[in-house]
Amino acid sequence: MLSLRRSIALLVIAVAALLAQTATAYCPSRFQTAQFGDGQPYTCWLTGQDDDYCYYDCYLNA
Amino acid sequence: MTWNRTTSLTALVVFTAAAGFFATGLIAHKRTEAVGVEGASVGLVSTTRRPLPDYQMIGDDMQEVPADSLRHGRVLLVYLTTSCDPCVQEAGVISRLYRDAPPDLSVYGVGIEKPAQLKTFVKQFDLKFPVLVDVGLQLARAIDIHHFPSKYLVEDGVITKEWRGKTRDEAALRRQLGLQ
Repeated sequence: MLSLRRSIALLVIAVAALLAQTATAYCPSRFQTAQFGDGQPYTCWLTGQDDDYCYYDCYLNA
Repeated sequence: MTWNRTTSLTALVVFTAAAGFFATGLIAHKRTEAVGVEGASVGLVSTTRRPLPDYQMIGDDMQEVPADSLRHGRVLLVYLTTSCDPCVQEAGVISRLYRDAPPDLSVYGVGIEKPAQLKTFVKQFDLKFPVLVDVGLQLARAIDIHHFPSKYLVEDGVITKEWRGKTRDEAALRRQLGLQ
Protein backbone atom coordinates (compact mmCIF):
# COMPACT_ATOMS: atom_id res chain seq x y z
CA MET A 1 0.00 0.00 0.00
CA LEU A 2 1.30 3.46 -0.87
CA SER A 3 2.27 5.82 1.87
CA LEU A 4 0.55 9.19 2.17
CA ARG A 5 3.70 10.98 0.98
CA ARG A 6 4.01 8.79 -2.11
CA SER A 7 0.34 9.24 -2.90
CA ILE A 8 0.67 12.99 -2.79
CA ALA A 9 3.81 12.88 -4.94
CA LEU A 10 2.02 10.73 -7.51
CA LEU A 11 -0.93 13.08 -7.50
CA VAL A 12 1.35 16.08 -8.12
CA ILE A 13 3.11 14.25 -10.95
CA ALA A 14 -0.20 13.27 -12.54
CA VAL A 15 -1.52 16.84 -12.41
CA ALA A 16 1.77 18.26 -13.74
CA ALA A 17 1.75 15.77 -16.63
CA LEU A 18 -1.83 16.69 -17.42
CA LEU A 19 -1.05 20.41 -17.42
CA ALA A 20 2.03 19.91 -19.58
CA GLN A 21 0.03 17.90 -22.10
CA THR A 22 -2.69 20.52 -22.40
CA ALA A 23 -0.39 23.56 -22.35
CA THR A 24 -1.07 25.94 -25.24
CA ALA A 25 1.06 28.35 -27.21
CA TYR A 26 1.67 31.88 -26.12
CA CYS A 27 -0.69 34.51 -27.50
CA PRO A 28 -0.60 38.21 -26.54
CA SER A 29 -3.69 38.97 -24.46
CA ARG A 30 -4.29 42.32 -26.11
CA PHE A 31 -2.92 44.56 -28.86
CA GLN A 32 -3.85 47.65 -30.80
CA THR A 33 -4.23 47.81 -34.55
CA ALA A 34 -2.77 50.22 -37.07
CA GLN A 35 -4.42 53.53 -37.84
CA PHE A 36 -3.85 55.54 -41.03
CA GLY A 37 -5.96 58.12 -42.77
CA ASP A 38 -9.58 57.11 -42.38
CA GLY A 39 -8.64 53.73 -40.86
CA GLN A 40 -10.18 53.17 -37.47
CA PRO A 41 -8.02 52.00 -34.55
CA TYR A 42 -9.14 48.80 -32.85
CA THR A 43 -8.11 47.03 -29.71
CA CYS A 44 -8.01 43.26 -30.03
CA TRP A 45 -8.58 40.95 -27.08
CA LEU A 46 -7.54 37.35 -26.86
CA THR A 47 -10.65 35.20 -26.55
CA GLY A 48 -9.15 31.77 -27.13
CA GLN A 49 -5.96 29.95 -28.01
CA ASP A 50 -4.71 26.64 -29.14
CA ASP A 51 -1.40 25.16 -30.27
CA ASP A 52 -2.47 26.16 -33.76
CA TYR A 53 -3.77 29.70 -33.48
CA CYS A 54 -4.62 32.75 -31.39
CA TYR A 55 -8.26 33.83 -31.52
CA TYR A 56 -9.09 37.54 -31.19
CA ASP A 57 -12.11 39.79 -31.15
CA CYS A 58 -11.37 43.39 -32.07
CA TYR A 59 -13.36 46.37 -30.86
CA LEU A 60 -13.37 49.93 -32.13
CA ASN A 61 -11.65 52.15 -29.60
CA ALA A 62 -14.04 54.42 -27.71
CA MET B 1 -8.94 -4.46 3.29
CA THR B 2 -9.40 -1.41 5.45
CA TRP B 3 -10.61 1.62 3.48
CA ASN B 4 -8.40 4.17 5.15
CA ARG B 5 -7.06 7.60 4.11
CA THR B 6 -4.07 6.23 2.20
CA THR B 7 -6.27 3.93 0.14
CA SER B 8 -8.57 6.85 -0.67
CA LEU B 9 -5.63 8.96 -1.83
CA THR B 10 -4.29 6.12 -3.94
CA ALA B 11 -7.69 5.73 -5.57
CA LEU B 12 -7.80 9.47 -6.18
CA VAL B 13 -4.38 9.42 -7.87
CA VAL B 14 -5.38 6.54 -10.13
CA PHE B 15 -8.71 8.17 -10.96
CA THR B 16 -7.12 11.57 -11.71
CA ALA B 17 -4.46 10.06 -13.95
CA ALA B 18 -7.00 7.92 -15.80
CA ALA B 19 -9.42 10.83 -16.26
CA GLY B 20 -6.63 13.09 -17.44
CA PHE B 21 -5.30 10.69 -20.04
CA PHE B 22 -8.83 9.85 -21.18
CA ALA B 23 -9.70 13.55 -21.57
CA THR B 24 -6.51 14.47 -23.44
CA GLY B 25 -6.92 11.40 -25.61
CA LEU B 26 -10.37 12.63 -26.56
CA ILE B 27 -9.00 16.10 -27.36
CA ALA B 28 -6.27 14.62 -29.56
CA HIS B 29 -8.84 12.42 -31.32
CA LYS B 30 -11.12 15.40 -31.94
CA ARG B 31 -8.22 17.47 -33.32
CA THR B 32 -7.24 14.71 -35.71
CA GLU B 33 -10.80 14.55 -36.96
CA ALA B 34 -10.84 18.31 -37.47
CA VAL B 35 -8.32 18.17 -40.33
CA GLY B 36 -10.07 18.49 -43.66
CA VAL B 37 -12.72 20.81 -45.08
CA GLU B 38 -15.95 19.45 -43.61
CA GLY B 39 -16.48 20.97 -40.17
CA ALA B 40 -12.77 21.70 -39.83
CA SER B 41 -11.48 24.04 -37.14
CA VAL B 42 -7.85 24.11 -38.30
CA GLY B 43 -6.12 23.51 -41.63
CA LEU B 44 -8.05 23.95 -44.88
CA VAL B 45 -11.47 25.07 -43.66
CA SER B 46 -13.17 26.41 -46.76
CA THR B 47 -13.10 26.10 -50.53
CA THR B 48 -16.16 28.31 -50.97
CA ARG B 49 -15.59 30.88 -53.72
CA ARG B 50 -16.26 34.52 -52.84
CA PRO B 51 -15.05 37.82 -54.26
CA LEU B 52 -12.20 39.56 -52.48
CA PRO B 53 -13.82 42.58 -50.76
CA ASP B 54 -12.42 46.10 -51.02
CA TYR B 55 -9.28 46.70 -48.99
CA GLN B 56 -6.77 49.35 -48.03
CA MET B 57 -3.24 48.02 -47.60
CA ILE B 58 0.08 49.68 -46.97
CA GLY B 59 3.40 48.12 -47.89
CA ASP B 60 6.58 48.06 -45.83
CA ASP B 61 7.66 51.23 -47.67
CA MET B 62 4.54 52.91 -46.15
CA GLN B 63 3.12 53.34 -49.64
CA GLU B 64 -0.47 52.36 -50.29
CA VAL B 65 -0.87 49.12 -52.24
CA PRO B 66 -2.75 49.84 -55.50
CA ALA B 67 -6.44 48.97 -55.20
CA ASP B 68 -6.49 46.06 -57.64
CA SER B 69 -2.99 44.66 -57.27
CA LEU B 70 -4.16 41.71 -55.14
CA ARG B 71 -6.90 40.85 -57.63
CA HIS B 72 -4.64 39.68 -60.42
CA GLY B 73 -3.30 36.14 -60.72
CA ARG B 74 -2.81 33.87 -57.71
CA VAL B 75 -2.15 35.58 -54.39
CA LEU B 76 -1.65 33.95 -51.01
CA LEU B 77 -2.49 36.26 -48.10
CA VAL B 78 -1.19 35.17 -44.69
CA TYR B 79 -2.65 37.04 -41.73
CA LEU B 80 -0.24 37.19 -38.79
CA THR B 81 0.05 38.99 -35.48
CA THR B 82 3.39 39.72 -33.87
CA SER B 83 4.46 37.78 -30.77
CA CYS B 84 1.89 35.02 -31.39
CA ASP B 85 3.75 31.71 -31.20
CA PRO B 86 1.74 29.92 -33.90
CA CYS B 87 2.25 32.98 -36.16
CA VAL B 88 6.02 32.85 -35.65
CA GLN B 89 6.02 29.16 -36.56
CA GLU B 90 3.82 29.88 -39.57
CA ALA B 91 6.18 32.63 -40.73
CA GLY B 92 8.95 30.03 -41.02
CA VAL B 93 6.78 27.80 -43.20
CA ILE B 94 5.72 30.72 -45.40
CA SER B 95 9.33 31.90 -45.80
CA ARG B 96 10.25 28.46 -47.18
CA LEU B 97 7.18 28.41 -49.39
CA TYR B 98 7.93 31.92 -50.68
CA ARG B 99 11.46 30.85 -51.58
CA ASP B 100 10.11 27.98 -53.70
CA ALA B 101 6.98 29.71 -55.02
CA PRO B 102 6.49 29.72 -58.79
CA PRO B 103 6.31 33.12 -60.56
CA ASP B 104 2.52 32.90 -60.88
CA LEU B 105 2.01 32.81 -57.09
CA SER B 106 2.44 36.01 -55.08
CA VAL B 107 2.80 35.60 -51.31
CA TYR B 108 2.13 38.37 -48.78
CA GLY B 109 2.02 38.44 -45.03
CA VAL B 110 -0.69 40.74 -43.72
CA GLY B 111 -0.53 42.39 -40.33
CA ILE B 112 -3.09 44.49 -38.51
CA GLU B 113 -0.77 46.01 -35.92
CA LYS B 114 1.29 49.15 -36.10
CA PRO B 115 3.95 49.19 -38.87
CA ALA B 116 6.78 49.66 -36.38
CA GLN B 117 5.76 46.43 -34.61
CA LEU B 118 5.54 44.62 -37.94
CA LYS B 119 8.94 45.87 -39.03
CA THR B 120 10.48 44.59 -35.80
CA PHE B 121 8.70 41.27 -36.31
CA VAL B 122 9.98 40.94 -39.87
CA LYS B 123 13.53 41.73 -38.80
CA GLN B 124 13.50 39.62 -35.64
CA PHE B 125 12.32 36.47 -37.39
CA ASP B 126 14.03 37.21 -40.73
CA LEU B 127 10.85 36.89 -42.77
CA LYS B 128 11.59 36.37 -46.45
CA PHE B 129 8.20 37.44 -47.80
CA PRO B 130 6.71 40.96 -48.04
CA VAL B 131 4.36 42.03 -45.26
CA LEU B 132 1.47 44.47 -45.75
CA VAL B 133 -0.66 46.32 -43.21
CA ASP B 134 -4.44 45.93 -43.39
CA VAL B 135 -5.45 49.50 -42.56
CA GLY B 136 -8.29 49.75 -40.07
CA LEU B 137 -8.85 45.98 -40.41
CA GLN B 138 -10.88 46.76 -43.52
CA LEU B 139 -10.26 43.42 -45.21
CA ALA B 140 -9.97 41.42 -41.99
CA ARG B 141 -13.42 42.61 -40.93
CA ALA B 142 -14.93 42.12 -44.37
CA ILE B 143 -13.88 38.47 -44.50
CA ASP B 144 -14.40 38.00 -40.75
CA ILE B 145 -10.93 37.00 -39.61
CA HIS B 146 -10.54 36.11 -35.94
CA HIS B 147 -7.91 33.37 -36.05
CA PHE B 148 -4.21 34.17 -36.40
CA PRO B 149 -2.57 32.85 -38.45
CA SER B 150 -5.12 32.49 -41.24
CA LYS B 151 -4.39 32.08 -44.94
CA TYR B 152 -6.41 32.96 -48.04
CA LEU B 153 -5.75 32.01 -51.64
CA VAL B 154 -7.07 34.66 -54.02
CA GLU B 155 -7.34 33.71 -57.68
CA ASP B 156 -8.14 36.55 -60.08
CA GLY B 157 -9.98 38.46 -57.37
CA VAL B 158 -11.86 35.48 -55.96
CA ILE B 159 -11.05 33.85 -52.60
CA THR B 160 -10.95 30.14 -53.40
CA LYS B 161 -9.37 28.59 -50.29
CA GLU B 162 -9.13 29.46 -46.61
CA TRP B 163 -6.83 27.90 -44.01
CA ARG B 164 -7.06 28.51 -40.28
CA GLY B 165 -4.25 28.07 -37.79
CA LYS B 166 -0.61 27.28 -38.36
CA THR B 167 0.43 24.81 -41.01
CA ARG B 168 0.96 21.36 -39.52
CA ASP B 169 1.57 19.60 -42.82
CA GLU B 170 3.67 21.70 -45.20
CA ALA B 171 3.54 19.09 -47.95
CA ALA B 172 -0.28 19.10 -47.80
CA LEU B 173 -0.31 22.90 -48.02
CA ARG B 174 1.91 22.78 -51.09
CA ARG B 175 -0.41 20.24 -52.70
CA GLN B 176 -3.45 22.37 -51.85
CA LEU B 177 -1.71 25.34 -53.49
CA GLY B 178 -0.95 23.24 -56.55
CA LEU B 179 2.81 23.48 -55.99
CA GLN B 180 3.50 19.73 -56.20
